[in-house]
Amino acid sequence: MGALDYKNHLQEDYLDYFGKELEKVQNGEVDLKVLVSELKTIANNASIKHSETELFDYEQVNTLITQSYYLLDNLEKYDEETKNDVIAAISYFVNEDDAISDSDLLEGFDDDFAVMLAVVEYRGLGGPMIKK
Amino acid sequence: MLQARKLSDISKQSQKDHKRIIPGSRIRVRGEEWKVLQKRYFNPNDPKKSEFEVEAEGQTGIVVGHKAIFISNIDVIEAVEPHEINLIQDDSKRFTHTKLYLESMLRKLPIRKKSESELAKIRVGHKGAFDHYPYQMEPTIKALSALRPKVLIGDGVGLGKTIEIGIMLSELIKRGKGRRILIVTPKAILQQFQKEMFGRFGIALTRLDSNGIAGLNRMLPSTMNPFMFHDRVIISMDTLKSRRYLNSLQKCSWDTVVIDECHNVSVKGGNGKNQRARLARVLCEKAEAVILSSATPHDGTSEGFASLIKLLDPTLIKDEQDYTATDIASVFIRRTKENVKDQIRMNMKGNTSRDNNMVQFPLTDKETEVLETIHNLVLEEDNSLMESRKKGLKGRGFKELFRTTLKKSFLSSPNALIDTLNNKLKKSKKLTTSDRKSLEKLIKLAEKTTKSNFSKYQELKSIIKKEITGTKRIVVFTERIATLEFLKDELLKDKVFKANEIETMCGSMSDSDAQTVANKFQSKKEKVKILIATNMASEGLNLHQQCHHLVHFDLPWSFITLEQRNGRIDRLGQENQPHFYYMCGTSESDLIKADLHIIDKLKNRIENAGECMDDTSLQAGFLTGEQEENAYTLEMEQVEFDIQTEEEKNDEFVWLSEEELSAVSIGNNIEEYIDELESFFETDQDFVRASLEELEIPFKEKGSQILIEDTHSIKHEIEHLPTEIINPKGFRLEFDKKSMMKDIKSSEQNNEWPSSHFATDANPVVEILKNKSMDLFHGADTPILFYKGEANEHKLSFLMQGQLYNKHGQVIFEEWAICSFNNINGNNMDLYGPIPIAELKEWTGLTNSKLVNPKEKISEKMHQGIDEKLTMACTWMQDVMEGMRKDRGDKFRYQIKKEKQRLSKWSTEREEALKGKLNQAKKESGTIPLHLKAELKRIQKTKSDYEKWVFDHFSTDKNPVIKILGVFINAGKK
Repeated sequence: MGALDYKNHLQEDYLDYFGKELEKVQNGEVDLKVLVSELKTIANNASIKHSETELFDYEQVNTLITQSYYLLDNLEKYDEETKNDVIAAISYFVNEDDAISDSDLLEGFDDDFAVMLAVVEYRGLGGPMIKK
Repeated sequence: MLQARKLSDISKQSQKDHKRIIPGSRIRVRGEEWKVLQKRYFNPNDPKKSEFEVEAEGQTGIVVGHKAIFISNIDVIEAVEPHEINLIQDDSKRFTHTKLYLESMLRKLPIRKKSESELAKIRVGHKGAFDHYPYQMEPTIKALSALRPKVLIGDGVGLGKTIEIGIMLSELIKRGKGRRILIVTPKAILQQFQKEMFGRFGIALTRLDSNGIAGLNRMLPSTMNPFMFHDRVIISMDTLKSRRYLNSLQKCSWDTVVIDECHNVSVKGGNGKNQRARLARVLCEKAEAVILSSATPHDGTSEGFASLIKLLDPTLIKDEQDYTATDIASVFIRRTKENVKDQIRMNMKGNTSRDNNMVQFPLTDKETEVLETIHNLVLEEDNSLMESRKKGLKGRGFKELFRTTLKKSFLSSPNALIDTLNNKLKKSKKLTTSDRKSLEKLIKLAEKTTKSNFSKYQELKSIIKKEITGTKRIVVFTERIATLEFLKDELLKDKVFKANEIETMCGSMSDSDAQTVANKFQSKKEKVKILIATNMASEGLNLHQQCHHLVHFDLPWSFITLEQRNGRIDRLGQENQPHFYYMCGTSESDLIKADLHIIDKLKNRIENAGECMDDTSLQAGFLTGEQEENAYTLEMEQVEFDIQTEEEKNDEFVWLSEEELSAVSIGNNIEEYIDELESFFETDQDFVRASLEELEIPFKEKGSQILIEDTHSIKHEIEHLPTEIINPKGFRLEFDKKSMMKDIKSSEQNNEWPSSHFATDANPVVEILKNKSMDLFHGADTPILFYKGEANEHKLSFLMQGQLYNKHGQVIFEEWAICSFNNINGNNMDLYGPIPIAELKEWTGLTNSKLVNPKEKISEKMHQGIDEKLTMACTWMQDVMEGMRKDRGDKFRYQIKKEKQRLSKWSTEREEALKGKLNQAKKESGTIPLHLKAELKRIQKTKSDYEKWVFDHFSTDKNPVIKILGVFINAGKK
């Protein structure tokens, strides 16, 4: 149980980093308030990054942000395992140093998107990502 | 009292505006308006980005056309908003000023593809003065369809590579990648290349031959970089490779670099060649577009050919010894005559198939005696070479036996043999006494082979007597300078030719002297009848205008060299059947049969060869004349001495397969690949005529020509043009392609420049007219057209242009749009954007011949109405551009990601390949070769540099540059 559930859904390096985030969540090291504040920072930075280049996928980051808020809003409805996975996925998203550094303007959030999508699909959750 | 401004205040002002100060935008500095060309942050990592410099071009007052650099903490640099314009009512007849202004704007805009994945189309190159063959468009289509236009044209001899280069240069100029062009050619064809580019494509190049550079050095202060003075330059590799220019070259960059006969710059052994390779790297690294061309680009080694490919794209090859045609397919194109024979045949006039003549003659007794003596010569030096061959020891490159050298010399002429022997005796200190004596004896024997005993010379005289009658001319190729001199002297003494009828060309001549000879031989009015040349003249030179007879006085032991020579007269444009004479002696002597075995082999191949002699050699794996000759030499030495040497393995040939070629082959459907440019004028001649009239430049027009005799009003603009194209009688612009081609032909026959200038879009005079027409409304001046039309009275429309600039300061995206208000006082907006130029022409009504300018004055109230709507229109345009920018990002993101993945794969594989070699070298010799270590370090830099280039090229600033091109107000119904 844990990150290995996603073995068939995520490539190896994404899985490694996701596993680490999940471990932090399971150890109670992740503060939800900090996550929310980090999401705001990402939203602000995304606009700046988009002004630097249109190759930065602004829509992808916006989808990730709205998906994160949706999941946080519905967090209480999920069972413990799902909750942990969701928080780990959001934590992965707000953490800049992951499989592909978020500072990479071209594909920095591709891994974050893949992780979030894997959790949403595997756990059968809703949100803007699924609607799209 | 004036208060001095604090530097901190200045910095604050500039900082406030810094985001809006981007390439293409307008700024106000020191009371004048400027257009930003480039912006550079002093510290790109500084989040505040408060300190920067801008390179700008003046737009108003006394600074128009001047360039300057402003530093943000010294000058107040204010961004000028798009709506800050000066409205100028256009009161010209039929609004011609606005029409010319918009036309010039259109003509000066760089063309861009709608998507990077689409195949590029030819827009201007096909308009050049030459006969079209579809295959000639293919290199350009291929190069322009790639992320970066870089290509190696490896077409066979005589297929018109120069034309292909001209097509591509025309297209690159039209795409904003040809402001600064550097062309490097062999010295003998400098002027020929310069003439072709100007005559056929209107591209004016300044020739920096030895005289040209000397002139420039006299004119410029020593601190000035001579390569920065002219923007479009042609220069020879020999001049350029000089160490004193390398530093200057490293300090300047070119939009496009062309290296003709590029096999001369591949990495090979020998310092001279490596110096050229280094220079080529310096030139190509910084250039946005690179064109390499050579009929023999492969030097026989995988590494040598890879070095050329790496000049184009260092990320294509992961291992210089192991790569495939597919790896290089994106940058390499090669066709032989066989590939395109159908296209050529369709356009050929008369019988132009080759007439190959084997001229066989028995060697005289004296000649046989010399050859037998050489055959029996046993030299210490040769013995030790044979020993090392037997042991399999390999030195640096191929070394033939000295005895073979002597044979080859004598097969050229007795004088060549004597010359070789004298040099050896003079220079070689290691000769044993017995060797020295043998060689001295041989000299005495060779001296007895006088002119009358020299069978080949007598045969040559017969050919000349029979064939070279009337105005006919002949080229005689020889391998040796001593033979060349002998022929010149003896033909003169024997009164076969007069002194003014003989010209010679060899490698020791200066570039300008060689050019003079080539020009004379091409000129109909000159008396010259024979050109005796060494192989120096076998590359690239056009000798076909007045000549269709060529003699190979001595046969090079290579079909590639033979084909290179034949290509001088058998090339596109040859109107007579070319006649070739291959001279070879025969002998019954058993002793020298082996020597002549190679000649027999050459003879058989010549007799069986079709239109293209090098095809079989190329298929056999020979890639250069030198390589082929070495192989034949080795074969002869093996036959003769019956020794077992390890056969040199040729690298696998990597030419593209037919299938790969077809990826860019456009066949005969050329029309599909040509896209004509939109224009407000019916023809180019109409545009030039209208601009001359409106600019009040006097001219005369006759048929398809416009003559500008009085150049006073453009004297400043023309003063830096190449001197060759400035005629004191003025400029005669030719608009008809066929007439231009006639003019070129007759000028070639008379060794002159064409009397008229082809008025292409790249022509410098047309360029001057475009600039001057743009200046009809310069800087912030914007035309108002108060017209009479069917629409609502006082309907107000803004014609706007939005541009996105990339991080390199280039316009990468551009659209035009219209924002209309039903009434100057109302707020109902009609928006059209982006609008294609074809529709725009109709919308403006400027192409309507019945258009009348009522010349009614616009009231002050109307002016106010316009001012009020301006900001709204600009804001809307900003939104349009924002949407377009987003669409662009979505369109290109995937492609750029794919390119990034390709680069990662390349760097990983290259690192692995190099590490493998490194470990092997360490095992074998215990040391790590420095060059491998350095290359390993370079991989990541190459990858990150390339990634950065791609990213910066495709990334645009969020703020578009908005320009109001015209304001249209309906004055009421007609």
